[in-house]
Amino acid sequence: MTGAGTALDPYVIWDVNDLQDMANGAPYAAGAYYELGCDIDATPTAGWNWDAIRGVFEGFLPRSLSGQLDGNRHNIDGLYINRESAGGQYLGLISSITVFGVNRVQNVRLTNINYYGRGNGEQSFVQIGGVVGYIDRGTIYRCYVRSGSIVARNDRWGFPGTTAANAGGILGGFGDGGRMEQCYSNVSVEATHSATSHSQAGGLVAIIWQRGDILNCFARGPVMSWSRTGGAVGLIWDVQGTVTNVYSTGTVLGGIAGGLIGARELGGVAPVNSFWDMESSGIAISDGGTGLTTLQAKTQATYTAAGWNFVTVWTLDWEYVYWNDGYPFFLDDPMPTITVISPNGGEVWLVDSTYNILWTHTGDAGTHVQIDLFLAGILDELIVASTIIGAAVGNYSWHIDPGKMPSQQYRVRITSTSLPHYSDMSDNDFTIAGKPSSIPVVATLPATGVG
Amino acid sequence: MAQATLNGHLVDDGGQPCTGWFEWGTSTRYGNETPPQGNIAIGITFSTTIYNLAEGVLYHYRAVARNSTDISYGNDQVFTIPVGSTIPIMLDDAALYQFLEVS
Repeated sequence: MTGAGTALDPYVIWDVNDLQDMANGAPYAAGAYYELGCDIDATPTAGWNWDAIRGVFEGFLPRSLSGQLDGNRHNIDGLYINRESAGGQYLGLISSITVFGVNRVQNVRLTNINYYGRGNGEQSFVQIGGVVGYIDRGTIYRCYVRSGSIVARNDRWGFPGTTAANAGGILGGFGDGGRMEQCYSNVSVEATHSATSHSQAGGLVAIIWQRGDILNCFARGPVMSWSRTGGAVGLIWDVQGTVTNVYSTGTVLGGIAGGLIGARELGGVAPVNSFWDMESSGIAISDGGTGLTTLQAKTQATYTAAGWNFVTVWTLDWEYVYWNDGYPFFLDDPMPTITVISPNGGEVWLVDSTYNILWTHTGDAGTHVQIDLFLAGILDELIVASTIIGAAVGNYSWHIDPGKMPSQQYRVRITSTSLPHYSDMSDNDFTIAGKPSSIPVVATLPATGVG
Repeated sequence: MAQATLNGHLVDDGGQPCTGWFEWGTSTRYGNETPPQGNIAIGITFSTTIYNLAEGVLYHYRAVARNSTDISYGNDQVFTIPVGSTIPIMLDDAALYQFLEVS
């Protein structure tokens, strides 16, 4: 790890060992600033910390944070946690944020997480979130948990939120405060408890215990628990939590199940301008929020009518209804694009010559592209079925066949092989011409005459 | 006697300066050549007027262009000047822009 841990010179995490060092704290100061310097391959955590009694690897050991972790939009892939305790435990990339400090986690992306936590003691509880297990203060901002699973189990009797099994896609639970903004999860979430009334699960968070605010978030994964289960929030308890501009689409199964909110108790406030997809979730009831058809849930007007910000926060793939399956997503996490740079119109390329076809791409547009040649709008030739998409500027060296028919009406189209909705064609025609020779060409035109 | 203006069009100069002229006559053996015009340009029509033609006779002509390495002939065209015509007329509009590349 490099850096000094200050706001101007944060510690920089370069690999999964640095990530565990951050969690371990020492020698890095509490309240320090951290950031990811690159994407992190966390798959080695599946082989960490052998537990001889259980016969499993316990994996990553999360700890609390009182400073800031900025993921810089880098991805952590394959983080593995498998922990069991007779007491209480908070699990996630960060276990808890509870003491005064900067208390901010932002711009972290997680894929293929595999979290399991179990409580097995008289006072046991387990609370698991994709990013943070438990938060009392601070902010989780622009964190995306894209894939994987979270499972919380507890075999002891307890009260919800304190001696329970709670699992949430982003956060296990809010305690006495905290904020989640512009986050989303697409993981499967499951919580079970031997006392069926004490398991909560939510696509975003299992429980808002006393306070906690959720703004502009969504959840896409399936959620299941034996008790309070919601596509976004399992349980809102007490009067000071807020849920605003949130939607969920995942299937919901639970003893007390709701498409968006599983249950509100002790005066839990109803969500505001928030929705769930009744068709995809398989459930038509929710303790708050508005149920939508899938078509409504994929229509921007549904959300703009409710005051959602589609200028600086949200967007929607109205053209292909493909990215995020056509549901709203964040401008901060845009859908992939591919843009043809050359030939993009006006070029004159000669047969039996070699040229570079150039393009750029943004986002996760896959690893390879197909390049086609069009003549007057009709597919003329497959230039290459698969070539690597490349870094900032993709490049394919194309030798034009000597027998290629000259025309001024050619265009190329570049398409992601894995995400074929993402493609681009030359903006205008380019010319393929015969090679210039030394031979002049002349035409005879009609004459005019007079007697 | 009648007169006619012959027109040609340089499609490609082969990357070199070109000279253009016409061959003409009463058969495809032609037999007459107009004076060459230097530095004819691509895309610009070059023309020459020929005189002392007989009215009612079929004439053949073709454009010719050459540069330092090769020569190109346009397609054959024909015209007949009607007897008694007093104003310039298009003699043949049947074969506009019949480009020909000579190898």
